[in-house]
Amino acid sequence: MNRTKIALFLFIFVSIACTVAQIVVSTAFATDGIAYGTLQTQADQLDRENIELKEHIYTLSSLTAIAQRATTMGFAFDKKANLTITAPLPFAMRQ
Amino acid sequence: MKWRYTLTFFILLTCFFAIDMKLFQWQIIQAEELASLGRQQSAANVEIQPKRGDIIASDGFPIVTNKLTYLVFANPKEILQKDELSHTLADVLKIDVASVSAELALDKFWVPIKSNVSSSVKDQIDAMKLPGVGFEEAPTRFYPEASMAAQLVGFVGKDEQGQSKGYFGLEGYYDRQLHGRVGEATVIHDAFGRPVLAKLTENSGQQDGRNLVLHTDRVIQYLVEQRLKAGIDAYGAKSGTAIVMDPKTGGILAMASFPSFDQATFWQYDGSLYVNPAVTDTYEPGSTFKPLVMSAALDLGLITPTTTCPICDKPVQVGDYAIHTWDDKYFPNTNMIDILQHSDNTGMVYVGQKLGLDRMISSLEKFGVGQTTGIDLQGEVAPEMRPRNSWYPIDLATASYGQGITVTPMELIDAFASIANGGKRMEPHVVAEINTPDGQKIPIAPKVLDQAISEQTAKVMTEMLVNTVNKGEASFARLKGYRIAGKTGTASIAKDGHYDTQHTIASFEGFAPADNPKFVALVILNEPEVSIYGSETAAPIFFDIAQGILTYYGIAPTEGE
Repeated sequence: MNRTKIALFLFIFVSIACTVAQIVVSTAFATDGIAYGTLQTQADQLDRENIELKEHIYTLSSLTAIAQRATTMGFAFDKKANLTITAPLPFAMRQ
Repeated sequence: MKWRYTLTFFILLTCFFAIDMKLFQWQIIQAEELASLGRQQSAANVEIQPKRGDIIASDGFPIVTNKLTYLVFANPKEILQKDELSHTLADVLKIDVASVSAELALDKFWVPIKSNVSSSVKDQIDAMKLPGVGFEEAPTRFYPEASMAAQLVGFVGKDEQGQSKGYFGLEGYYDRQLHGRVGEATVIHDAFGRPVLAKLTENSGQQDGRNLVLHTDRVIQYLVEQRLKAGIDAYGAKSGTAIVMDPKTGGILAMASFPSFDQATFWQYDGSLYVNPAVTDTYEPGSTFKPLVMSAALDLGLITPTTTCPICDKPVQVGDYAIHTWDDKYFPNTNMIDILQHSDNTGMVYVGQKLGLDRMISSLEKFGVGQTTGIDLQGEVAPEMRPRNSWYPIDLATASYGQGITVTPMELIDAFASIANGGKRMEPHVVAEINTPDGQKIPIAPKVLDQAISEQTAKVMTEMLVNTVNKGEASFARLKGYRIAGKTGTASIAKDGHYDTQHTIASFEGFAPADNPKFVALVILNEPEVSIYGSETAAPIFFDIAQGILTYYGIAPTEGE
């Protein structure tokens, strides 16, 4: 009878210990998962912001944008004539 | 009493047997099937798309990079008030209400509403918390300099499988390097769909694309595009091309053609605009070819700069054909320096005849005529020279002044650049360096393709070309104070079996400073209306570009007027 009680006690003890261990391990996994998920979301968000900021910087510092800004500020390209006809140029001779 | 023990024993034995049988079925017979089912419930295989590499100008500024855009989609089965939602989405996305309504009316779980949506618009829709509306991230190419160098760069489209793929230009030529490698990872999640730390991207095999660092200088490219476009408009040309190259390395500093297209909305343009005329268009170069033939004859010692031409006093008769000068002016006993200066066709026929067919062909081959240059751009062509046995005397005569022989602009500038580089012909390259995602830099070393002419001949030829710029037809446009070597070209266009003298390809090629060239450039205008001559159209554009580059490089004038 005594041996039966001991066996029953051991059985219950092992069962409870295993259950507790399972709860601890699975909770740890779940917590890691949630923490990981949060970090992943934050990293993705920062990546997105980084890409958007880069896009903004590139747009503002492009030559096209600078040239447009220069025009609005009153700067202009040299308007000198490209074509100067002086004798005895072939174009003049053909007239 | 004993029978009870026996009965209990058999009941337990039967239960154990039944459990064993079921376990055997699950773990042995249905093992694969159940494992797969389990994986489907708790894990998912995801493709990890690589980030496409950037294309970076020589100053480190990306002319092509990536930006985040979104695809807005909807699940019509989750949407109850479709009319209201259609109006809301159409209003925010600035699209037609009918097209949104049509999509939402479909009996599907997923319908696309609009692609290429910016993050600000996405945030706006997000804030509305619309039921059944979602977003997919879709990185797209971003061009900070808008359509700059469109034909040089190419664009990214989709292949037959719907995967992104580079087409034309650098995107096409370096597609594999830029694309990178797609990876695959298994993501494990719990019953609520939350990710569990497990196999993630570490061993997925995914690799981002490599960045390309170009020889192309953003400032020179901008300058060339502005000047060329203005020139095409001013001279009423149908189209135009300009190339600027570093003669010492073969690096392409700028390359532009108009009309062009916008890479970001390439589908709105005619497909013929996608190709790069600098490497795909063939044309008869006219007088810009003369320096090559003259150099060959000088190099072989058949003539010297002071050799006089005994047949230059009148049109030259070759078989049934009479060859005239471009202005029908003739200079008896003119020397080789003056022949280039006056761009005298009869003088070049004399030089061609001195060379003879075999020497002409082998010299032109050394200049790379009839061969692709090997430039790292998709679609380069090279019109082959006619077979040796099908050259007639008239072909030799016309080839000596650049008619009856075809080249691409790239082929011509590469050949001409060898005069600026001590006779060495370089392999042209747009990309200077490839940068891998792990920080490795792979430089592309300059490559000498051939010694087209001797260094001495190159020096003599340079002096003759400086004289041509200072005293030739385009001298009115030259830059005062700088020694620039160059040559004009006015090529008649072959139409219906004869040359149309009123429709020409006007061009100018040159390099500066002549004594230590920093760049060589070629400007081509197709059928200019204001004047048919290269000296009056292409040359002013060339000198405009040269002025900008010399100022940009901080090179001061070395001579007085």
